Amino acid sequence: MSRATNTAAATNRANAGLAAMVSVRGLAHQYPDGTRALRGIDLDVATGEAVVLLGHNASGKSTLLKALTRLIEPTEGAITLDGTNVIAAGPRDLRTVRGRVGTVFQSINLVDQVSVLSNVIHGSLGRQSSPRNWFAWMASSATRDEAMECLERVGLAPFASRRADQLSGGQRQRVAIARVLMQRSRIVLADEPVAALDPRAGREVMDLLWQIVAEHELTLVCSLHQLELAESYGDRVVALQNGRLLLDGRIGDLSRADLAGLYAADAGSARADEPAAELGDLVDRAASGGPR
Amino acid sequence: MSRGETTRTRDGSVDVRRSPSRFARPGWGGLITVLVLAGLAIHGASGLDLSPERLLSAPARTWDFLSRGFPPATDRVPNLAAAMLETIEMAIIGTALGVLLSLPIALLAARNTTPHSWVHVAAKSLLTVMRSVPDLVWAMVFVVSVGLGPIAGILTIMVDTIGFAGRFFAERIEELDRGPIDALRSTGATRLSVMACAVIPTAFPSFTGTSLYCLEKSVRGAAVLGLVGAGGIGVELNVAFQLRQFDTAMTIIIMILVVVLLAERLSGVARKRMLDGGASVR
Repeated sequence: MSRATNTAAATNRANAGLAAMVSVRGLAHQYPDGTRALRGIDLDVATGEAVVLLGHNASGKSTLLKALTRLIEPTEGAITLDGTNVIAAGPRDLRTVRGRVGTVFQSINLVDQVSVLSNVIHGSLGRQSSPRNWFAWMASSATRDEAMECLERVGLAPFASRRADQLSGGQRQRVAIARVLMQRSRIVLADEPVAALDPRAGREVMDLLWQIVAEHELTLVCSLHQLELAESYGDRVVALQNGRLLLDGRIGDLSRADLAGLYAADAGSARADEPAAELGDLVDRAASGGPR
Repeated sequence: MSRGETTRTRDGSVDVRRSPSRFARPGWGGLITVLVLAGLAIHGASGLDLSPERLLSAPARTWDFLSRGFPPATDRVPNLAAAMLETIEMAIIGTALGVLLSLPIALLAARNTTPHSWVHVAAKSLLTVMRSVPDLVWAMVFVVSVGLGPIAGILTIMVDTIGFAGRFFAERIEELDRGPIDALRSTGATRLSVMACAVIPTAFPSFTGTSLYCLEKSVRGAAVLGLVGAGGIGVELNVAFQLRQFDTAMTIIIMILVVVLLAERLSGVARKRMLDGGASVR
């Protein structure tokens, strides 16, 4: 059995003993067209841990992240976030849980027609649903001040009154991070946050995101495609293939070959109804310098 | 075998050299539709009482109207201006009320924001009824309900605007990018907050364009509502025609023309500025 396989088992055992901030059991999701995006995912993420999700396109990373807060309704399985059973939560409880989970999207998803400051203030809507927080000009001085502090933290305070669509891609993603800060979240889910950015802007955004996660001792689950970013920033790597968990290990315990093997293997071309490649086969092949 | 049919060669492969026929043969449904429409047109034409005498006398009657209409009765302009102003005010108030009321109905009618499929069907049906009944018919209904005058006109314009704007607002909402909506949902925002912070601002430029078009349409429509007693300049136009004061009628027609053209021009400029500059909700 490979080193990575041992690590995966060890990590799961270790996490099972800790108070997991994110706990997923048997999570599955099938889209209406029959595509099975997730198949029996088990995952525990400890408080303060930074987990990087890797995998080909359509491997289930985005679906997993969206399913965690039920932006996509899972077909089956159990999810616990910060001690709350997400699957059993009613509308009010679900909003409370979502309020504790900040999300950074690949497509950034700011409201372009409103100011940068309004976008940041929207982060507080989960804990203060008052209509005063709909737009910056309606918000209380305390809320505006807090939003300005969040913008200051991401280096965009001078842009507060600009419309969101007047910023560059990197700046917009920093506004999205400021919105997460405003949320005062305990968990951050980031879905390929640098996929739409050039390498330099991507590095800046990753540096900022990880600094904020470290400062506030947040728990992070971040999907990425860039192995070097995963190595630089993650504590632990979880790889998905065809909706199944393929690999789970500490970054320090995995070699570059292990990680490269995830993308070198022709995993993405496998038919969705085929079982995933054996983990041991894949990692052994990667470690022995197999096909890249 | 007819041209355009696929043929197979001896070895079983498909012969693709034959091009398809230029015209498709109409189906029975299409043929019946055309025959029914043609029958209705012939039946309608036969009931028009189009005698040669009527056709021959038409140019003389038109000339009579034009010769008595010019020069227009400019001395009546100050009196008519009050009725014209009333028409414009009816259009503005009716459109404003209509746009405001169409927004919640559109949110209920759009598939992605409706709370339930039954609510979606009910809201869509309401918009269809409001849009399908012609504005002059609504005006007659409101004249019966609230009496003669501008209130009936305002209500007519309001209902007409709800039917028109509500449909376009709902369609725009259904086309919206889900990204900002998901981002707001992910913060734990309530349904109302998601609509106020993501749905409406994202659709705002389109809403603005549609609303300005509604205003332009309302000014045009308001000018004739008076023909059935729903206030505005149309009342004066009706009276002028009944009394055969064609110079006054011509003055009113020219005033309507100027106001409608001005409204169209202003609305066009405003819509262009809004859409080019990106209308915003700060």
